[in-house]
Amino acid sequence: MSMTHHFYSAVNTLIFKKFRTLKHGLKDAITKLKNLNLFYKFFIAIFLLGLITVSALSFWFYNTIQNALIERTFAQLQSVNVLKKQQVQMLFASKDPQISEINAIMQETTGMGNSGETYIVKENFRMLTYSRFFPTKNPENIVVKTVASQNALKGNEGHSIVNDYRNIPVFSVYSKITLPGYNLAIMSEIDYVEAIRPVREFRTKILWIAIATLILVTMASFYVTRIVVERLKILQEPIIKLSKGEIPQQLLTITDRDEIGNMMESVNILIRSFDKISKVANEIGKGNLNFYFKPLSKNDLLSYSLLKMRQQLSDFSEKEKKLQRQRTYSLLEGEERERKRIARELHDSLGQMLTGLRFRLEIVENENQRLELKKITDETISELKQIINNLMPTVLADFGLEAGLRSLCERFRSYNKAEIIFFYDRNEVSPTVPFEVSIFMYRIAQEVLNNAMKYANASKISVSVDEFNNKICLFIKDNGHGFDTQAEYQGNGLKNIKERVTLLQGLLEIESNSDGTTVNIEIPL
Amino acid sequence: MNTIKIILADDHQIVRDGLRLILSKDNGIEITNEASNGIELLKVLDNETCDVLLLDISMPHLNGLDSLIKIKEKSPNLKVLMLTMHEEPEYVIKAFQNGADGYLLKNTDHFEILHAIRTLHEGKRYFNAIISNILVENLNKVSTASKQEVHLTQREHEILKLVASGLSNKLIADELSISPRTVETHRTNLIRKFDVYNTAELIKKAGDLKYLT
Repeated sequence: MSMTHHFYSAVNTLIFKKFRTLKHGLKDAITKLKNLNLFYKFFIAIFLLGLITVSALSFWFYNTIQNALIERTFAQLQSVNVLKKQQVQMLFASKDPQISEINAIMQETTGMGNSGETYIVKENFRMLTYSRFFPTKNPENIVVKTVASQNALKGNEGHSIVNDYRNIPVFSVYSKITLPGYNLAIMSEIDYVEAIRPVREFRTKILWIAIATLILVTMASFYVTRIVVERLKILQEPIIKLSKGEIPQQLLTITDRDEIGNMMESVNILIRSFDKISKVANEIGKGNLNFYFKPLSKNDLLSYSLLKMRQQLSDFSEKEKKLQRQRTYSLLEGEERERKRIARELHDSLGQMLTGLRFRLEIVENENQRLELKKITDETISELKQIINNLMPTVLADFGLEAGLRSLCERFRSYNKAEIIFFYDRNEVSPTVPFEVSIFMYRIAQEVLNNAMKYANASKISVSVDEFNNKICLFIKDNGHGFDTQAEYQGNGLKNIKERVTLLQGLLEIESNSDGTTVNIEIPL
Repeated sequence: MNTIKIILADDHQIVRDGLRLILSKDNGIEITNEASNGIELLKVLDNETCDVLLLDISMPHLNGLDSLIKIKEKSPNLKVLMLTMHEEPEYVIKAFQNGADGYLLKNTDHFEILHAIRTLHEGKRYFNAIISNILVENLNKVSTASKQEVHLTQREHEILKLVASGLSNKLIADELSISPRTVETHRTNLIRKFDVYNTAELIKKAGDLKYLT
């Protein structure tokens, strides 16, 4: 029991395994076939189709012809059989015939080729007449017990392909000769090989034709496949590139306006939009956010996302710039406030203490000593005043821009022995200049005057301020030998000037040549 | 002769002490009180008066210039001598606009201080050569407001005249040492102020209203 059970399970496993490997093999083959190049698939498909068609056609054609030949052979044998039978019957009807006479009738083999013969078989399955193949053998010794002869002797007429007495396949037509006292069968036969030879020859021809046709079909399928697949291949290259993120350098050349042509057109559109979008992304990446860009369609999600991204980046950078400006602004403003505080402190404490000291000196008895000490104290006070003014002129803090600039010009005039013309056009309707603007403009003027003196060696400078409803203009012109406005070399203060004008969101124009320099600054109020 | 009663207002003890030393050399002068800022000074003046007030400008809480207005409102006859380190015209002018009777810089010697106190006490004003100079130089600024129909700034007036004489913006800019853009803005403002539409109309109307003389 258990033995048989093991045996079955082993067989089962074996079969199942075999089946599984077969299944796997099939699957593998299908997968391999599926992964074949389109070209081979197409080619194999068209080739197989051609092969099947040609084979079927050839087979059908060959079969038809063979059938026709068989039919014709039987018909021929039939007529021979009938004719000979009549002749034999006629012979018997007239007189008592001799065997030789019958043999003569039988041996007449015109139109029967090399192997065709007609013979008579007796009831004991022995030949009555001579065999064509054994002319010297006594017919009595040749046994003809074939399917055909048996049928004929039973009284059935008919035809069939059978093995004859030599055991060689033949076309056989047979019938019974009914004579009084005799039971004979008359057989007309021809060798199968000979009868069928024409169709065999024809088969070779058909084979050649089929092979030729197949070669033609192969070539045609190769050509057709190549035309289709090559065009698909042209399509494939840019699509693969696009999928890798590369942008094809060239657009596809469209020759035919068919499905593939339309696909090529679409790929071209894809390439163009990909290029466009990548350029847009590139611009965004570079930080250039001001460019014109129109999405390809309403549903162009990528483009809209990019535009959204650009907007956000733009907002962000705008915010960042603003923040940066605010930072610098408050930094500079803080610096100025600190300067103001220090100046105020110096003035209020040290200045006042020196003044107090000076008053006390007034009562020193020794005249020489008093004058000497007073002189030193005065110099100290005036030095301190200069320090204070450099830090932040108190007049600027107390009386505003006009007073500050006037005092600045005054100091430049006295220190540098240059001619400085100052004019401030005050306008009652214009808003009061805020201290932050005042101090920045004061610093700007200070830098410009410094430049004119230090670098351009000017002897005449004019400083003009014009107040308006919405802006304040500072124009400084000198007769110095000018300086390179492009070079921001250390210490010329150009950077400071630019920075402050930018912070006040104003306009700065500098023109400089060997005849002099003009600096025009407009600050919105 | 009565002694001159003086109140000192200065935020620095050292300055007040110095002044005390100087003024104490003169028998005709008596320092009756002192204050270290404007608020304190006003409180002191609520209770007592004096002949001459020596007033500093830079003081905490209420500075000298602002205190001056309040003091002069309450007691216009009280003589106030500004004693300060500030020598810029703005301070000087403001002080006199607010009613100061004298203005002295702290670096003057004690003779001048005593002289100034006496001058004020006699009912006169006191300013030395430096201060008078500043006042004279800035006189025009105080009294330029004309009573004409259209109010022009000094620059606008100049530009109007130059425009009338047929100068281009560039030439006017060169003449006045300002930028051509600023000249253009002024021109636009002039046309607006005179309520006209172009330069020709501007010149005609300005001439009619006697602005070009």
